[in-house]
Amino acid sequence: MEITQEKIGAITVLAVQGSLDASTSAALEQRLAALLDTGERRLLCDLAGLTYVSSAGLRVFVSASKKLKAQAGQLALCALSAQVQRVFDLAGFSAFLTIRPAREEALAALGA
Amino acid sequence: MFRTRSIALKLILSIVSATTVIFACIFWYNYRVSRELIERHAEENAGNIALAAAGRVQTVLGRVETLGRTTARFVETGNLDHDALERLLRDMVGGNGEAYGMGVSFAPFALDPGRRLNAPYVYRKGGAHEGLATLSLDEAYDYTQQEWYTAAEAARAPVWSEPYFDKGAGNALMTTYSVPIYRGDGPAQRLFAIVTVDVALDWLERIVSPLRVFQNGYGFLLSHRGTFLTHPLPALVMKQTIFDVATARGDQNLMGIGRRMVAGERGFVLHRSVLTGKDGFVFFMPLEPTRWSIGIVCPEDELFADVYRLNKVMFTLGFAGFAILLGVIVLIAGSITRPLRTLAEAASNIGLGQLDRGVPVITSRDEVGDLAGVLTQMVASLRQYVKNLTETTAAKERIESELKIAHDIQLGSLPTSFPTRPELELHAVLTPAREVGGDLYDFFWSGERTLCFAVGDVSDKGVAAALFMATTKTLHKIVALANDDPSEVMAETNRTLAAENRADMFVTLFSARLDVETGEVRYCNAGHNPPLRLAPDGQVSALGAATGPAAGIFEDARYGEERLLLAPGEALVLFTDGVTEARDPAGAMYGDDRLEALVGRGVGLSAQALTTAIEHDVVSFAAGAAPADDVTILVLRYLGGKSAARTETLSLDARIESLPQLEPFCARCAERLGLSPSVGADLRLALDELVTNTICYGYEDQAPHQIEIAVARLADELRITLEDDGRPFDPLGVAAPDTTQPLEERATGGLGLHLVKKVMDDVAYERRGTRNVIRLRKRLGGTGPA
Repeated sequence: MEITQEKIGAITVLAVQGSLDASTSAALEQRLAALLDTGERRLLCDLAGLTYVSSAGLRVFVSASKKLKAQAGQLALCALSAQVQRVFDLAGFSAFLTIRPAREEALAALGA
Repeated sequence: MFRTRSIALKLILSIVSATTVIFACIFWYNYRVSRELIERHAEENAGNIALAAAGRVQTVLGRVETLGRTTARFVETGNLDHDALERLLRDMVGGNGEAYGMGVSFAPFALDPGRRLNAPYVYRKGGAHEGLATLSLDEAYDYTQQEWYTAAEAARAPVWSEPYFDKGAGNALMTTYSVPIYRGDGPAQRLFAIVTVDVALDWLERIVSPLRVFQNGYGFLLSHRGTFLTHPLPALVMKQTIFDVATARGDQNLMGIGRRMVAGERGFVLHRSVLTGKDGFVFFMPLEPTRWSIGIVCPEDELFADVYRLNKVMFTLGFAGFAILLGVIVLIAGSITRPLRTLAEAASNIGLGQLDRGVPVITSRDEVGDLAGVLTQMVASLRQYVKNLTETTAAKERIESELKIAHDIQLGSLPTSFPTRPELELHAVLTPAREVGGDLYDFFWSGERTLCFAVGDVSDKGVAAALFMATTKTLHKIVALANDDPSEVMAETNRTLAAENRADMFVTLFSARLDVETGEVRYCNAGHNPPLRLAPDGQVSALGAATGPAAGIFEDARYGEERLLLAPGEALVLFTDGVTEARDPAGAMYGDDRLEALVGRGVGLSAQALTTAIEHDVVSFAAGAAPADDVTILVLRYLGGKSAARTETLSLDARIESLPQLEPFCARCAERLGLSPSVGADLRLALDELVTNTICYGYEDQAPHQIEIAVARLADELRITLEDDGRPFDPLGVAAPDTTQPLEERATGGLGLHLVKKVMDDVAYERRGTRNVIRLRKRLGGTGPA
């Protein structure tokens, strides 16, 4: 799994690539925690390059979303592949997370 | 209040009050009657006394009257001169002690025209016979004005004068009898003389005073004017009339008595005594020939003294009687209630189930004794009954226990270790309607690739059917293992059963054998319900009709053989009529249509799931109605021969770092087993979650462990097996997350397994020895192997 980070306005965008399972989720979790620690409140995860996600990966997104909400921030996801989207749907998370097909829409949702 | 008291008190109160009323009536009646008797008796008695006294008075007075009339006769008839007259009078007085004095008083100028008044009189001077004195009354004593003269003259008949005190005769009480004498006839008749006899009445007092009635009774005499002639009170005698006394006392009753006495009546009336002031009765009657009246007073208290005494005695006796009666009642009541109380206590003990304490012995032969006898009998019957009941219950429990054992043995004799070979799935259930039943199912391998399976239904239920079922099952298995021709197996089974069938029972039997490589099924149906065949597309069809009669009846029955070829994914559903003939509480039958519809929806279900689905549907249809027949279901799913199955395996180090290996493994499975990308993705997700679970929670030590993964592609499904040697861990035991809850409120535990269940059709966990085995199944939508 690889993570690349860029800043668009007040929004930090993380592009996640590869597989997100129990062996890799810890890295993403730490990265998100670090961003939260530095005061980032609006995060976008671009999952266009994510080929696989397991429940371990789902937990990372859910956990980050909860923390941001608690600090008046927000997490958005975009560009999920059909497989990844299916896992989010099966878990019942799609309705509770901000998920947009395209990055622009996600940025708009974050108030860019 | 009467209800709550004891029988003794009730008896005492009722009997005593009844007796009191009766006694009071008797007492009152007795008092009235004896009082009446005594009154009558007293009247009689007083009457007799009065009569006797009157008799004595009348004797004296009668002699006086005779004397008067005799003398008058002499004077009337004889022309007596003065001296002769005096001699006559002297003789008369001298010869008659009753007379105090006698005289002849001539009417004026009757004897001697020159002498107006002439009346010689002889009387006792000093009372002695010799002491007779003579005096001649003349103008100095004008007797024609005296009452004794005028009364007789007026009456023209002899009269008795009102008694009077005579001063000349020593102040004695006297009365005078006057007899008038007439001369001439018719109108010329005129008074010639009046003969008088004076009588002292001192003897009268002597006769009347001693009259005694009881202690204080007394007699008295009234003149015709009501003057007391004699009375115990001397103050009254000749001084007062009865009317004076009555007026002085204001006593109307006495006044009335006086009037009646003066009128010469006879009576017996209540009267308050003048002498004693006490109540009493007075008897009175006239005293002839005078117009006097004699009275006898009887004091009431003395008159009724006997009655009062008798009453006292009766009262005393009555009370003594009451006391005795009371004692007797108390004794009787006690003798009745004491045993009753004992019996009540005994009955209460019986009620508490203490039958050993017995009933107290009651020797009396009355109703209480009867009751005791009945109680004793009841206790004996109860003991016997309890004993019988205990024995019956014990026997019933023994039978039930034996039936339970039989049930366990019967169900235990049915194979439950279902085949695990990849070519097929087989599952079966049998639920007896009673403890033991007559249904059977069986399966066994008669070779490396031949699975024999059968379902049967014995014509009866209960123990007999169970024994027949056991025989059939054993026999069928022995025969089928020795012979691979289904029709011969059935014929042989039938022959043996029929030869030894003494109870004329029979069994419908479906016997088949499956070649697991080819899917060919050869079967014989001895009168059994045709099984259902389920195609992968949901088409349900019943196999053909029976190929022969039910087994056990005709020894030489022949059975035809049928064949069919099962495609991979096809299933056979064998059942007994306990399924299709199950009834709901309203009596409606489950029916073939409902079963076929249910089976049609069972595409993709494992044999076990389909079996359970049918079983549950029958139970829910019956809705609690007692099953009439045993329910047996056997489902066989053919998955295809081994030659058609392909398997990929992976041995994974149990470390989180091994997870990335799953990606290439799943890619390989997809490629080699012909899986679509989405199935490959689901496979990876399921493997990833389960492996992660095991790595994270499955081990208690740090030693290296392996997780074995096998993915088998069968006809229309994927079968995945994960095995590890970790601690016993059932991932299915983790609660599924509620995915409808907002994230913030949702526990994240169990999410992995939730995903697994979503992407797989069946997840099963089994602890096999020291290993955890998780089996997954995923249907592939009817697509055959590539």
